[in-house]
Amino acid sequence: MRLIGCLLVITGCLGFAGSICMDLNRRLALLLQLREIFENLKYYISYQKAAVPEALGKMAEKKGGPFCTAFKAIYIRIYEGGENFPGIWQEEMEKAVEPLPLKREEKKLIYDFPSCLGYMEENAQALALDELLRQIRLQIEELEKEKRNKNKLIMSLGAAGGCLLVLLLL
Amino acid sequence: MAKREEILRIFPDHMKKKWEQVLSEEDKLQEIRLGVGQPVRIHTSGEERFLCVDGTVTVSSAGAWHLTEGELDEIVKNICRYSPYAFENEIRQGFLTVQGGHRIGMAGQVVLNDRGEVRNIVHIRFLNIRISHQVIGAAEEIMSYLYEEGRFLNTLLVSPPGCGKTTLLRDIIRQISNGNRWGRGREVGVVDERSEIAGGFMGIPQNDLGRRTDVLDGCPKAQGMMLLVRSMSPAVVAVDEIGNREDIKAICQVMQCGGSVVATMHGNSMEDVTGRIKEEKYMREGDAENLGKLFERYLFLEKKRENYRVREILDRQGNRLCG
Repeated sequence: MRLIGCLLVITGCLGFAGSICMDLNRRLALLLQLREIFENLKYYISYQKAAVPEALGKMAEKKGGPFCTAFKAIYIRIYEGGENFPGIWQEEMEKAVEPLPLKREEKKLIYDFPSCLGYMEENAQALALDELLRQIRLQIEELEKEKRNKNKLIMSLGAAGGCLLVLLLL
Repeated sequence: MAKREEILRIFPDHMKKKWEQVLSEEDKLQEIRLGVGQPVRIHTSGEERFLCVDGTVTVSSAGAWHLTEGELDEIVKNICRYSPYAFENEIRQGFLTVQGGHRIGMAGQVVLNDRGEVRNIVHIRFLNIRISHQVIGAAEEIMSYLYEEGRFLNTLLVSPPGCGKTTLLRDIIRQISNGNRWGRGREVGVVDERSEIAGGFMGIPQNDLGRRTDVLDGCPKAQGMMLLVRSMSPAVVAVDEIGNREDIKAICQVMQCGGSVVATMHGNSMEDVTGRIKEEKYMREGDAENLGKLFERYLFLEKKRENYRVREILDRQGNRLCG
């Protein structure tokens, strides 16, 4: 029984460490998704000269995921409800992004998106989006580095922590 | 979507309530004029009234709502859906058209390019919202003059601004397309450079232009006419506000291809039409005369009090058929 208990404690600690690693992976996947979204948005702005709410509507049709559900809601509220963009963006994105495992500064990048709009010329608008994309890419690079370095460490610490707990309990 | 909703969408959320009383008479509403530091003016049935901060409408400007710079900026941002770059070409021309075909004229500080042409309007400080009215049956009385043995005749509608040219053109298009007592339904191609005829939104006409009508939205008239003839083979091509040499050249080409044309132009008389064309520096001498011979019917419109009416209809030789 003791042996089974010990194994369970170690497995639990390993599972906890695994979930931290999984969060890192999920965060990375979300940032990659975000990068793709803003790259697509840049395409719609530069090539199609589409207004931002229209571009969001088109992206919501093509993709799934938490962001696209929010995009669809924003599109519908603007074109069917006639509401204003910045307020709706904040409200809908908060709903979608709050439960996601993103850092506060990453969430802020998303919430602050309407502040990079308002340029008269499409190149200037695309450049403003480029700056946003640059910041997302930086976050991705950092996270990839962090993931490489931390994954093994977290798992080892998890296993070691489990062993320590077993020793203390015994 | 109801016209009321279309107009309300022009304004940010927190301003919408103020417009409710104004929009209770949406069918009579002609223009809304906005300017920084100026009272909000509303033109209904030929009368000017003022909007107060509490949403009431008065005949006196005392106590009227004077727009601030920030409020006007908010309205402009809202009209552009926070994407002014998407409307750069329209703003450069001084107007843009919103859902429902309502035209918003803009004025402010102009930026010129190296060639001295208007590059854009920055600091937009004045807006003129012209409410589009779709009057089904507006062309009912004049359709008989526009057909000969079932063939639609090349027609030019002429009037000063604000006399109902586009409204009449819209109904003529609808009647040609659906068919009427004088001719069966025909394919109609509309080049809607300013999105005023169809009131297109994401390419979908918001006004009823008939069941056989194809619309090329936002396309320059001359290019659009040729594009439609090549791709959609319309029996009738419709355009709004023709005037320059390229437009006339394209109209000639459409006619040479066997199509008919229905168009509008600013002016008040036959002399105005040819005279205005001659004044254009880029016009060749013969263009004005050509224009006089191109069309088979000339409809001159006028505004009497609040009503718009066809003053007279002339044929190619200038004979009066009606009026």
